[in-house]
Amino acid sequence: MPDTVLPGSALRTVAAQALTLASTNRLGLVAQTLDDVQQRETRVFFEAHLPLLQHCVQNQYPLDAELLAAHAMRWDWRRLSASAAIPWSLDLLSQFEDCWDWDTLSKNRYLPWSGALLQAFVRRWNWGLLSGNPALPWSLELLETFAPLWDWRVLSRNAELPWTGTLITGNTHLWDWVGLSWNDGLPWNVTLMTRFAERWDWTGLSANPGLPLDADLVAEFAPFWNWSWLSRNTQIAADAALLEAYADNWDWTALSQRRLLRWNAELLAQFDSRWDWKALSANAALPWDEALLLRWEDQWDWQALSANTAPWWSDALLERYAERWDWEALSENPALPWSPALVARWAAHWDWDKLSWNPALPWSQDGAAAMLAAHAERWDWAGLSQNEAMPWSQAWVDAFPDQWDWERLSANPALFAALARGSAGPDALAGFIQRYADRWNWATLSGQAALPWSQALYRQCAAHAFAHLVAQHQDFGVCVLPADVVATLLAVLDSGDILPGAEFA
Amino acid sequence: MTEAFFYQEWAQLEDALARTRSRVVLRCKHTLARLVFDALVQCRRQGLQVQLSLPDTALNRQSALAWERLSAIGGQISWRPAALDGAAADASFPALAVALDDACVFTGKLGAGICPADDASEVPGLVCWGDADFVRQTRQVIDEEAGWGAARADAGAVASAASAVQLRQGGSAAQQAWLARVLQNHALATQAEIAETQRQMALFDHAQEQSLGPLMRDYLRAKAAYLQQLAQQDQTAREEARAAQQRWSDYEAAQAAADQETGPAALDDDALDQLKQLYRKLAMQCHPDRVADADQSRAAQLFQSLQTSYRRGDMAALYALQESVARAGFQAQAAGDTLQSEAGGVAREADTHAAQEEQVALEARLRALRSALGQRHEALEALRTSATWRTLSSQPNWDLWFAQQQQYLQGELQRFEAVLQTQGASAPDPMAHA
Repeated sequence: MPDTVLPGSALRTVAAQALTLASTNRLGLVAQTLDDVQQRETRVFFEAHLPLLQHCVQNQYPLDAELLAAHAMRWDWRRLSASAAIPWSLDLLSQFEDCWDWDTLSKNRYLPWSGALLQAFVRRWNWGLLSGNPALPWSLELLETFAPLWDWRVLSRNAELPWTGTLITGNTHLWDWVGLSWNDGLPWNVTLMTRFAERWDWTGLSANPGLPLDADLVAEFAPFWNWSWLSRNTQIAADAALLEAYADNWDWTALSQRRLLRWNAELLAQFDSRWDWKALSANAALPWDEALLLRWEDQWDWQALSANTAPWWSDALLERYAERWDWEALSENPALPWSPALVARWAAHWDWDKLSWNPALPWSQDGAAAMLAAHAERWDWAGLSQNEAMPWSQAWVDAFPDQWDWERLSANPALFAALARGSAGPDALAGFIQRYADRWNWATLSGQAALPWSQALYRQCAAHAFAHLVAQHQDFGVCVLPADVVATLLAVLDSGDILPGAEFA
Repeated sequence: MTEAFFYQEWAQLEDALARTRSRVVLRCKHTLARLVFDALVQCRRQGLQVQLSLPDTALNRQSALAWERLSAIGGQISWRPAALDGAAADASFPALAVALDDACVFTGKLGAGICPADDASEVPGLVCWGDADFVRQTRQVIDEEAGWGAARADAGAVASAASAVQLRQGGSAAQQAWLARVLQNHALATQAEIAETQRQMALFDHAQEQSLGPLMRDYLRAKAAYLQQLAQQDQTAREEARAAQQRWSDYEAAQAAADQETGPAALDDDALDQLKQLYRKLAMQCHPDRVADADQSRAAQLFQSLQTSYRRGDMAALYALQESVARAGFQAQAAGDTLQSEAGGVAREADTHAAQEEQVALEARLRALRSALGQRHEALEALRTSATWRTLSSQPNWDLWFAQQQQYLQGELQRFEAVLQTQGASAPDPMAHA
């Protein structure tokens, strides 16, 4: 990219095209042809799986007024009311006003929200749910227009409102002050906090990560804080002076768990007798090194330490304190420098159940089989079956069909993501799924969004798959069908004149 | 060193914000995305100096973003007067300009999903500038407009009346020079993105032809033959038969023409990086925008070759081109500082009629640059909305997708062939639906 030149004239239109005309023409023709073919194939597919069509249409199709009306009795209007696919409009809402589930609509983020829309159905909305819907075009005007209708308790907790000092001071009698106190969207500052000091819920304020929690603010409201909750506030970043100033107020166990404190050896030493050393031992934000470990060697909780995920672990460290570590905790710690050699070195120490679930083990493509074989009797296959770090492939599953826990395997997204990335075509994949048809948990598999469902796969698995679960995350190309084709197919379903080959889910 | 991001722009900016240590200066043209606002609040909480300049519009004033939240924790907000419609300077500004420490500047636009209020005609994409001079220049432009530069103590105040007037008149000289530089770099980045999009489409075309070509030919021929046969018995099928015949012959013609061309090379990530770097370097040297008028014709020729070689992923050809470009010895546009010096002249002789004319000319130039960039955005948008791009970019595994299409085509082909073999009108109609 250029860094220097300024043009003396406007940029010239560049005629040169990288893509040739022949390629462009061919791409256009192929795309058009494949669209036609796909539309026809999709129709043929859904003709054979009409119940699936109904679910796919309901979940994914941009249903228009005509389709909604023609099959009004077929739709689950509550689910439709939550749809993101429907081309929502004021007209559409009016036309089926008695059908919609207005509670669900009030929570829907995809409606064309506006003051006019709220006004049009003012008696239909659930104003409590609307008050918490972040998709509304929140403004002072909107709040004022419908002031008597909002649920101010819910509004008070809504971080999406255009919070200003004016908004808060102008409606003091309407706000739920507990809700406001927990809301991190407010423009928190000393003035605001002082002005309503008597109204705030100081437990909520103490826990609120939206506060600009510096030493001055902590000092300013020292008598008001709930110190236990303040110590739990994820944004508290106290230094030694602030800790010292209120040493008797802080909850030192909670503080010992905080990540944002200015951690260093001096801080630990200064409050040596106050820290909760078990909580400190688990805190990954401390500046861990061997000097720190040795300095308070007898105060650390070695079990918590063994579960600490700070990036300081080494083979040498494990070796040096082998007798002190808690090997059960180490076995599930993803931060260890895992290698087949490490697994082998401490084979007698590991908790193999925990180890089998550990997502950080080095299940590389090359070494996985050897590592599995080397400790064949020790692994917990339930853990391995759900472990996302395995080198998943059809061959890997085929290698141990009797060892896998198929319930957990069905729920493992990494397996199906790997199959999706693999080079096997839809038929080969369908063959693989079909091969273990009596082992999968089909309800889990039907809801498995990572499985690369295709028309070919569904055809082969239709007898086992749960159409309504599959249709929650797959559309099988239903959106390429024109509305008149969808209407025709649904009419067949309505008439009960099911086409040959259609299954009933 | 600059770099362009046309995908996951927000992730890039978010990473850079996380690395920032002392100061974030952000100017937004229309409205600020909640994600960005929350990130600014987070930066401020971590002790960074945060300065935000945004237009004083009803949309912003009534926005659900709690501006006071940022002010309350020490962030500075400058409400600039909303720009007049068509004011060249403001219209030329990128949707977002962010200076982070002394390290880098991001200019451009975030995706529509992140900031829906931005100008829809601009393609989302960020250019990241690592040039220290440019970072200073950017801060100076934003500071000057927001009124931060002159009086730091007064930071957060509304932009001074003088700077507001200046903005309405088309911007200061420094601002115009900065804008011209931004526009030109965005145009070149967009050009490079167009080339890359087309390279991928060429690669997809080639792979698609390998997988589906023969089957597609058979399918189109069989469909044309079937409809031809049908049209002999049914007048209403004539138009459809003619269209099918036309598509088949168009495909054959495109096929024959494409067969004359060298297919693109499949490159690994390293080779592709090298290819892109060399392309950018050569584009800077031989793009017709960048050379003197006398060199236009030769530059256009070389740039054409650059495009072709890039599409083919032909690194050797790019190296050869590098030598040709060096031999050509193009004179860069002598207008490197034209805008700045001309605009400087305007400032010095602000009262003269000539200076006013110069000012008008500068504004016209910015408009022209903006229009040229707009054309490239349109070209990129057209490519990205094509059916082919949608397919290739949404399919993580092309082979799998081709296999699926093969199945579809095979099924359809078998239907047509079955009917054609019966040679009779009584055969079932493969186009008919149940």
